[in-house]
Amino acid sequence: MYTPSIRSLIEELGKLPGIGPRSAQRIAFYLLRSETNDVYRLADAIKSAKDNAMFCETCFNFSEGVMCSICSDQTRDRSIICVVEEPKDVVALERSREYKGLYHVLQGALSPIDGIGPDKIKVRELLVRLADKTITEVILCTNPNIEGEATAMYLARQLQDTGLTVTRIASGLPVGGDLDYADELTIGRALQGRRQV
Amino acid sequence: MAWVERIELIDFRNWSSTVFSPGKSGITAIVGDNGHGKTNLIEAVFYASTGGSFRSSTKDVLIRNGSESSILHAIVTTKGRELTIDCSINRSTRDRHLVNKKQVPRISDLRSEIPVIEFNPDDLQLVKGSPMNRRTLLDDFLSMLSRSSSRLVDETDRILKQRAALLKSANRSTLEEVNWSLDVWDKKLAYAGTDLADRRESLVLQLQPLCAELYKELSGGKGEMEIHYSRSWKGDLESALIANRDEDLRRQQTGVGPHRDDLLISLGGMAARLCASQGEQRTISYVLKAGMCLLLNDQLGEPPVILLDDILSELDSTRARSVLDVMPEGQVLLTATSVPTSVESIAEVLRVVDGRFADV
Repeated sequence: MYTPSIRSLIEELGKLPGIGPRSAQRIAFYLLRSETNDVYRLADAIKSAKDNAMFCETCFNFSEGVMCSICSDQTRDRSIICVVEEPKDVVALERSREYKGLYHVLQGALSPIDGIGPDKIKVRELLVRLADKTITEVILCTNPNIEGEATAMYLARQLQDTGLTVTRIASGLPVGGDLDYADELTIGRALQGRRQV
Repeated sequence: MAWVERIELIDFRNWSSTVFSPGKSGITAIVGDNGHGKTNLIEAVFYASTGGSFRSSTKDVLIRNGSESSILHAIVTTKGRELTIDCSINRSTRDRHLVNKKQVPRISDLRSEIPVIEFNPDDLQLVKGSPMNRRTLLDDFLSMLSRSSSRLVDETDRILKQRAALLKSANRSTLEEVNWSLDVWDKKLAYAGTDLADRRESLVLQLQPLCAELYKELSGGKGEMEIHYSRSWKGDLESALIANRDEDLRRQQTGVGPHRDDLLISLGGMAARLCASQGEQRTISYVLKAGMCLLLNDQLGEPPVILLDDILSELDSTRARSVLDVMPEGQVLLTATSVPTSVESIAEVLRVVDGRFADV
């Protein structure tokens, strides 16, 4: 039905996360109808992002050099490290503007089903970083799902004899929401994690 | 009370297009010869309210031959509100399940929204079959009572799968690394597994007196039925897991935990699986689900929708009537090749011939 080059474009687009065969077809037709320059600009953006993107050698977040902008920012609090699963989690935490410390991106969470053990994520690199005596606190900010909790638990055990303050991010009610809209699991967690006022 | 007002089926099994409106009086009997599509109607009701089938795990068989998808539109009232349910089951694209025009984020959450209990001749396996049948039954009941239980069931299952994967890959890393990782998954399994076993046990304790009473009523006072939840470990689960670790590593499977527990059913002090007659086993399996109907009625303040697929055929006319009489007073949809005379007076009868209602 399609020419080989169009078919291959649809196939490649269909491999992207969240894009099914129909969306892939729609995007492909959109691109083919677009101005040539627009399409080239998109292609260049993909290519240059891929060529220039590398991981920060310290925290393993995306970076355009050996050290990312957060790790090289001398105004940030260098005594505290927040451990997250993915670069997008750094973006989420940065959006809050509440956190001024450093990050460590594990690039995944423990999940034996997917063949991901501690050696497949950046655990060893974290332990090496923590040998630096300026660091006093580690916040475990992995996702509040089964794999994220297991990862946090694993790290907490690895760190228990290091003398560092190890904390886990709280889970509970969303701010600005109504109590009766929250699901019972979230409310249960929020109750467990209540604090004195 | 939970009530199916109407359900429209399009290309579902052998039904090309029809609207099924159950009778207003409570009991609706769907009558017809075998293979004409009676059970398919009940299955459609079950699918719309739970997102699954009690007969088949592959969706392709639900779609009528030669069609690409099958569509269900249902209106159900429960807990004082009306829900419109729209499902499409598709051969090549993702299924959709909308409640009040909104996609359901987790299909298993539906179980706690619309209380439905179905009975079918395979229920005999609850007594005769493997412990898995009985665990699944308890987990399904728990999921109907609360959404947090339904999440807990899913979570425990996921942790067990993670631990199993870890055990399978254990020979590829050092013993120390494996032990570190197992410590974590053991702790998680212990937490979720103990919670699940506690919930199952307390459910069984609530069901026990209801089932004992029902059994007495249906058997004419013969034999004492008892149910008891039996754990696969003693003491706390985490210690049991650690004690069993070497064995687990050798066999590459988790030997203790909620997935190895059982619901023990006895009749007159003897294991029903081994000692009860076929007829007694049939009554027991009926009583387990009927007990849950009573418990739901008690706890939710409304009886569930009760689906009886070909249950009456094994019984004589008087027994068929008493089976219906012990149920809480709500909506019952039943299928039968013929309606027993004792039931005819209390039921609205709809005849089905070859994927159509004969009266329409």
